[in-house]
Amino acid sequence: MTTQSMINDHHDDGHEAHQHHMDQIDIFGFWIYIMSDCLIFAALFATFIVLRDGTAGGISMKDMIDYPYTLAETIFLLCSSFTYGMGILNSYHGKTHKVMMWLVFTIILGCCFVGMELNEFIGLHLAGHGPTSSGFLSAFFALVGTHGFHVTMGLIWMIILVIQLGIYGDSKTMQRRLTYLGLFWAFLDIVWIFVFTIVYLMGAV
Amino acid sequence: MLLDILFGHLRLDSIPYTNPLIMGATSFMGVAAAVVLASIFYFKKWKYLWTNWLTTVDHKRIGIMYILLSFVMLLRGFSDALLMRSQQMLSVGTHYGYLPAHHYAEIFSAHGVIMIFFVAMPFMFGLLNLAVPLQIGARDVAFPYLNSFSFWMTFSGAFLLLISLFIGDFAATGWLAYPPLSEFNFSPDVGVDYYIWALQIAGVGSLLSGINFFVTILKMRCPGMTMMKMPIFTWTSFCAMVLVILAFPILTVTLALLLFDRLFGTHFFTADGGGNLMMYMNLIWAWGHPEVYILILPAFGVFSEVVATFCKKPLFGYKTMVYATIAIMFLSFVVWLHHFFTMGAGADVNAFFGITTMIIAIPTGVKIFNWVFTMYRGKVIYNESMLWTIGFIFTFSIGGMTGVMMAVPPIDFQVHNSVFLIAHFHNVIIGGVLFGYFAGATYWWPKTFGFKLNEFWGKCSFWFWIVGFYLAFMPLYVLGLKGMTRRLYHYDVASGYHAWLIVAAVGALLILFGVICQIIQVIVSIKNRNHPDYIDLTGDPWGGRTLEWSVSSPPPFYNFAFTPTVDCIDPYWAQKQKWAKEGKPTEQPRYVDIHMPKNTPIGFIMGIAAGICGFAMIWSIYWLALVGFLVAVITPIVRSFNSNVDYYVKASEVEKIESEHLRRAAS
Amino acid sequence: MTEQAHKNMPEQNRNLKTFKSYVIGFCSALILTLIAFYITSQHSFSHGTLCWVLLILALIQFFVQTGFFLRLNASPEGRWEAVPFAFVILVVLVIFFGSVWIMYNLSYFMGS
Repeated sequence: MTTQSMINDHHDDGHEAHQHHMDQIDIFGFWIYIMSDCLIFAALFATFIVLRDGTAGGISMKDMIDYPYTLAETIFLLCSSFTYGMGILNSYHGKTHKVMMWLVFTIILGCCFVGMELNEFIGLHLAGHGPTSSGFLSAFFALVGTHGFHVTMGLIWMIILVIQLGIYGDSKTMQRRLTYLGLFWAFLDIVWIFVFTIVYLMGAV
Repeated sequence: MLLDILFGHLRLDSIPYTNPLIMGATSFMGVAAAVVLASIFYFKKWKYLWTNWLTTVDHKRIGIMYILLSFVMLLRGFSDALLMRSQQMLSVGTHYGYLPAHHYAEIFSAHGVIMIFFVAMPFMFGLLNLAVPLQIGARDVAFPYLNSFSFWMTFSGAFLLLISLFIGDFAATGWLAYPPLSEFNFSPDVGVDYYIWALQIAGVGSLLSGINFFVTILKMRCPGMTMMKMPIFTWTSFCAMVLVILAFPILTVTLALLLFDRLFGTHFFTADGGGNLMMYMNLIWAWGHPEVYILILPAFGVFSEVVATFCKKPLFGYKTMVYATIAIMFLSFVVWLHHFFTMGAGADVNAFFGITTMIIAIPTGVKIFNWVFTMYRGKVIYNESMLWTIGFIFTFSIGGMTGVMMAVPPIDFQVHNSVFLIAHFHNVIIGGVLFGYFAGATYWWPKTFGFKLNEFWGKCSFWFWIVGFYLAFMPLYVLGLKGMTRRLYHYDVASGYHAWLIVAAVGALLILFGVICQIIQVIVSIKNRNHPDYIDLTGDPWGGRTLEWSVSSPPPFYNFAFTPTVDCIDPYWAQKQKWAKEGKPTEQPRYVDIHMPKNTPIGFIMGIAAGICGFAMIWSIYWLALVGFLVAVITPIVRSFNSNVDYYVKASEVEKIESEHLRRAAS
Repeated sequence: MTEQAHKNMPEQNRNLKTFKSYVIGFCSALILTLIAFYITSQHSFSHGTLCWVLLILALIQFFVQTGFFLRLNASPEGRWEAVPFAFVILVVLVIFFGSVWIMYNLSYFMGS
């Protein structure tokens, strides 16, 4: 996706400025991709609101809600945003091993989130309340599931970054990739604010 | 059992051997493909094709491929149109034409899908690729390898659609595949699955291109080119890209939800189980309306460029053009309900969207006035591009007016889903989008290939197209008011439709002659490409105003030896005025090394893999789908471990290329 | 900040992510989340009021996270990210509320 080279040790000023400019462009481009992702969630949220009452006589959020469980998920994700941030801060100081450590913490926290979500989904499905049971459940699984899918993709990406940090160490390219993922990760936590508020909390009463 | 695992639902009888029309069309496609492949073998061009086209990241080559794809799909989509017109002409009273009803439904569905997604969109991205980076003084787009990937995704989508002709069926649901008809219980065959996967794959390509050009235009303009000094084509492209970025995700979600309904039995758009059918219409048009503005805005941009160049005047009202375009961009998000006034949302909602729809006509009107005012007192050259433009001004205005008519809900209730609607949107799409893209292709053809297109055949094609268009679609306005619904397979003699439909069929025939003229035009032009009347030695065959005309035709692969610096609108025109006054600079420039991206097979591999995954999902060949998916996902990951993705062009090579260009220009 | 650190910072260095901003962001978000869960589980308000309160808490947390984690602001350099973001939010709201309004009316008149 870029025209960068991995090794950037021996650039003179002209190349340095050019690289900076290209970095800025790449990060901006990734931000615009995230903007398009906002629309995906907008459409899914709208669908959820519309289908919220389409329970077809089955369960609604009132029956599904488990406050401590969802709170725990939320806190895992929030903590993972914080640990990723710590990783970014360490990358400013070029402390590659610290970065890798914080990323691993983030991966663990992220996996806890995804694990809990999968557990919730499987439980619902086995209890006969899978996505095919009603419009409400279809919309629930689509919205929450799409968010979870994004988180999973982020985690896979994070693992690859940890591997690449191990192989290539610190560099402008790795900085840039950490920035992309940082934007992505923060974006997912922001979407989750609305998921737990609108889907879980507002639905529960 | 083993057959199920290996081939999913695909069997030999998925191919409709007994249908002569399909087998005829398939044979034709097969022969055409075989001829092309055989030629490549005969001329031993596989390596050349791979190195220079399949793996290219050069925006100019990608643009050519997009337009080539678009033209091939135009032939297919137009064949569908001819079938439809002839069927409707024949299917009256005791006669039922030659197409079975279900097949007719597949044809009109394919016609719409092909024209919007695989003719108009690729043509648009083709023109953007050819012109925008050159217009802003850039060397390439912001993300060249993503550009390649986007093209191959579009290609794969088109490929899926083409093979749906003879392997299985296509959707028979109309081009938007409304549920419940598109749900599994009413369309159990693979048709709607082909539809979904072709559009999803092409849609991803379009979205990524949208991001690519958005960032390119914002971040890669040459020094001195502020937003308000950009060429208008770049402005309209920019606004269209905003629409792409914001609208295509909605399409992605909607089609995905439909797919889940079909594949897993979820209840998003089902009539039972708590689903909501109408939400599909709401979402698909929340995408669909911005989509049509995505198509028309670049066409408006082309007209602005063409009119200014061929009237030898700066465009009248640059600022108002920009503001009008931005206004259209904003407004296109608040009108989408006008596509389903009759669905029953009530007077309040209908009134709101009716008013916004009428408002959106105003900035378009401003643009039309500006084009006309540009022509006033200009030295108008009536070449092919100008003819397309003038034809557009008349034709699109009529289409726009019928649009404003339908913006009034009570009128719309009378003509919704009649052929009045069909006439309106063909009026604006053919008269607006297609004429605009044809004008653009003619205008930028010499820049791209180094020789002009033959004027005579071009003008012939224009006249056939415009007369054919009016004959084909004006009767439809009348028929719509007489009550003829769209997608009508058969009608009674007493309806009085027959005579009008004969006229319409004649119109379609004239358009066919127009298309044939265009094919002849290209062949004649290629044959004469080195002839003095055709060849473009200077890079500026039209007396252009913007930066793309300042480089050779075709441009060197790096576009500009030195990134230009500009300080006004129409910078090349200003530069030429300065040279006329002060004389051209005589000192030999000192060339520098240029940083360029390397070609890569990644885009091609990912695009084809996605297509294979789509095909496999359609036929439930799950192992193949997994393979395709994994290849598409793992390839970019592997590439991220590769640092050898760019190189520097030596200044000496740049000097060689530039000197050659100067030598040719002087001769 | 060391010379080395300066070199390693990507273009967003002027939107300096600091330890302080992360801690403030994290703690605020945590508190807002806990409040939201608490008032819902304790049924402290009527349904209508609760929805408004939850929405306000969510919006505050939204600004906390975009401000402290994403460092999105109206500074001259940050404007590149902030303006598209603002426009996208506008369109998201139009699509979301537009759809909900349309579908609500459809359900009223068409009974589905």
